[in-house]
Amino acid sequence: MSEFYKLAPVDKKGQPFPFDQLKGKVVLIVNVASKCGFTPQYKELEALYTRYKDEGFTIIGFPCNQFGHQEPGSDEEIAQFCQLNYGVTFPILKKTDVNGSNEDPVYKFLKSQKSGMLGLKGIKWNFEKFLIDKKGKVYERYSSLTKPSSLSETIENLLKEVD
Amino acid sequence: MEPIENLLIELIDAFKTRREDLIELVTLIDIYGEEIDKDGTYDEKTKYIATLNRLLEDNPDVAGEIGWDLPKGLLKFLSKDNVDTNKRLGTNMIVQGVMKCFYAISIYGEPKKCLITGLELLSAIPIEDVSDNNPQSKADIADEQAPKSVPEEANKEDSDPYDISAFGERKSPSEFFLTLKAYILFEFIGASLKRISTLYPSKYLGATVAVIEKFVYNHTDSFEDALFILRRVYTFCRSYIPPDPPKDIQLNEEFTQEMFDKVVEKENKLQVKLLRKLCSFGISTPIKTVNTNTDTKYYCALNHQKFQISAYYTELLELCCRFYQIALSLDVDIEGEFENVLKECRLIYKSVPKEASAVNEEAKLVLERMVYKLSYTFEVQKAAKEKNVGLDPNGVVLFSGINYLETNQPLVKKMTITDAVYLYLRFTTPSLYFKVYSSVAVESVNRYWLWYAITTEPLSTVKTELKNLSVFVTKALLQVLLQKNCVQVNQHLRMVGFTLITRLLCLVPETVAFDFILDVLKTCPFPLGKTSALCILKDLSRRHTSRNDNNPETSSLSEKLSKLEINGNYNSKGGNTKYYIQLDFSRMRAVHECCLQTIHDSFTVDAKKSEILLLLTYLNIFIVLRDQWDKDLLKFVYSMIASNLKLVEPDKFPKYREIVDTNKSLNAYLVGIK
Repeated sequence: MSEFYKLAPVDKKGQPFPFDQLKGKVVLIVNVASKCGFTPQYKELEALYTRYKDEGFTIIGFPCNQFGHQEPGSDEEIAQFCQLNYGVTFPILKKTDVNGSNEDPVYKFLKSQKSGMLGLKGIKWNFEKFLIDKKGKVYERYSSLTKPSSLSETIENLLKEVD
Repeated sequence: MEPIENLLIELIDAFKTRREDLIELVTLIDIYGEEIDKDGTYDEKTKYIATLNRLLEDNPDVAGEIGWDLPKGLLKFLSKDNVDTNKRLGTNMIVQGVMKCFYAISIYGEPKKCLITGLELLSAIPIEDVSDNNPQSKADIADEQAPKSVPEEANKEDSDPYDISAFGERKSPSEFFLTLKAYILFEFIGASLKRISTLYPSKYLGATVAVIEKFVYNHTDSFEDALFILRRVYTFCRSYIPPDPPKDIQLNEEFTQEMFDKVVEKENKLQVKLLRKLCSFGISTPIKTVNTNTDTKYYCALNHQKFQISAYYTELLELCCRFYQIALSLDVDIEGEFENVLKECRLIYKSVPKEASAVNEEAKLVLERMVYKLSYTFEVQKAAKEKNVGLDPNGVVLFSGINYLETNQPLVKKMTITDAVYLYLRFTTPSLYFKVYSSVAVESVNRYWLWYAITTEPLSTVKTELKNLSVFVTKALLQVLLQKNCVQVNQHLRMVGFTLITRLLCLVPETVAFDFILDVLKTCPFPLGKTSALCILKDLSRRHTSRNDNNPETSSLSEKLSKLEINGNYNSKGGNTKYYIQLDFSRMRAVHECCLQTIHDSFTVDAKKSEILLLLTYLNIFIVLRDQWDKDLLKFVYSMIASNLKLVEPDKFPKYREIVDTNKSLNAYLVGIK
């Protein structure tokens, strides 16, 4: 079994969100922030989620305040912001660190699997994305500049793959 | 000057007719530019630059060939004659036009040549000799002619090359033009770098980093505030995208895919190293003169006080936090790097002998001086031998402080007092020999680590370590702390500094503490230092050591500190009272001698107010300690002052009024009236 499915971050209420529930799904993991120039990507992310969720695709957002302090609010405020401004329906988990000594184990795993620009493991900014295939393998890592809508084709191909 | 209409026609014509002779075209542009800048009106200059911009955009092939040659001439338009530094930059169409030309060149110009031009200009950018009092400059006239509406600009994305919002705050004219030109060049360099196609990007990044470092190094003192440089370096580091390898690269038997991958891998590593270096240097140098208040924050936390800083410092620390975050993005192992710095510090000081090994006074003096110079010598040798592209150690120390400011947690859980002392001396003493090593920001972080060490380690451990530390090292620490604190202008920060010194004096062996105080009374060049030393002496000779000193629980210390009880109590009723400093006759005698010198200095013809204040402090302290002090010595002090007062001329008498009253009080105590 992929290490990915052994991970269990916590949701906004502090309850475990075991990744074994994601087996067989294509997953997009994004570190999100409410006050970033890339925040409008929520709209495209929600559109992707709505379009493919019934085919076995999901998105998981990890709010993070490590980039320009652009996610200063509480978990409750973050959830409210996403819902009110972008109608987000995909899971937004508890605010966490994605770099440094307190980084979330999910990010430790993801970064160990795919490096970013210049072979760096560190997350560079808000809205970096990791795409995970149906077997729990990190398929690709995308920078903040990559628009979620541009991932449609790749997601469709991954969804077509046989379990 | 020719009428502008004719000149513009000639310029447009030159772009058509001189395409085959680009050197001539560039020469013409230079001549037209110089002439218009010299004799043209604001409107004429605006028209000229707008026309040049349009021609560059309409002729990308020409711009590609000559673009790199134009920046120098364009920057000349950014002068006091064309720009009123007291008015909003967004209203000045010359500035807007120049920026647009730069943008066009960065898009169409040959990127390698553009990069080199940008780097040359940035490395040689001068501080303008602009008078701050120039009410009748041409710019005033120019501004009157300027359109009143503000062009719609920027705030689109962080990387917008036309975002001039950073210039909202007015600076001195010289700083203004330096800032403006540097801003444009940073954007130009960044944009050119992105467009270069090469298999060896580290070559170009290396050259860029070197020039940026030179710029930062040369101009840190030119800027009144550090925010500008911090923002530029941060934006460069964050926006850097490695150039792509050439698309037409031929992979064959001589240059295989494997060889290509190896080159890319090696280049990636080199670029990361360069960015890390720039990131650490880019934070440590611009804020050298800025107190990061790391120790103050920790002190406030110990005292359960709110840590408050001004809006400027809030913004500055926010930017510092961003550097810290970028360091994490660049996979810098900040904790590991900091541990390496601590190891380096141990290496420097571990061989300093304890006092016992110094046989005579002369040898002691040599050792005292040596401790001061050790780090400086190490620094110079290291700089001479350095071959690796490593992080700036000052930046690493700053990151350790920012880690606390950002997370409220220490970067390393365990910090021994020995390491904290070495760290402080390592980064503070070189500045005594060469000012360039001075960093108020790093000093603040290192004081934080001293505070952290004495408040988290068990007191018995701290005391033992300080006892085992070379007395030369301890003495140097206390002296440098005192010296730096005496020049601190902020009263609150000075108080925090003296509290730290007092606390350390409670923890070092008693002899070391008293010798230090006596040394200050004898030789300190700062009257404030002597006054403070007297106050500390008063405190430590009245407080007896706490029974809890050996208690590993440090929370009680925080509690006591919160009530400003350094440690220990007054007025013990126990029979075995042990004060931090016991006042025996020889010690009283030694302080007495210092007081006599102060009496002498206070009654000279040109006695300074500070000397009289110091004498007043002596008197007040003698009154407080009268029950412990030798009565004969006090009587002698009283008589000396009384007889000197009789000789004071009437016109100078008012400045001794408090001395008169306090001396009378001392006498009253001595004869048993009070």
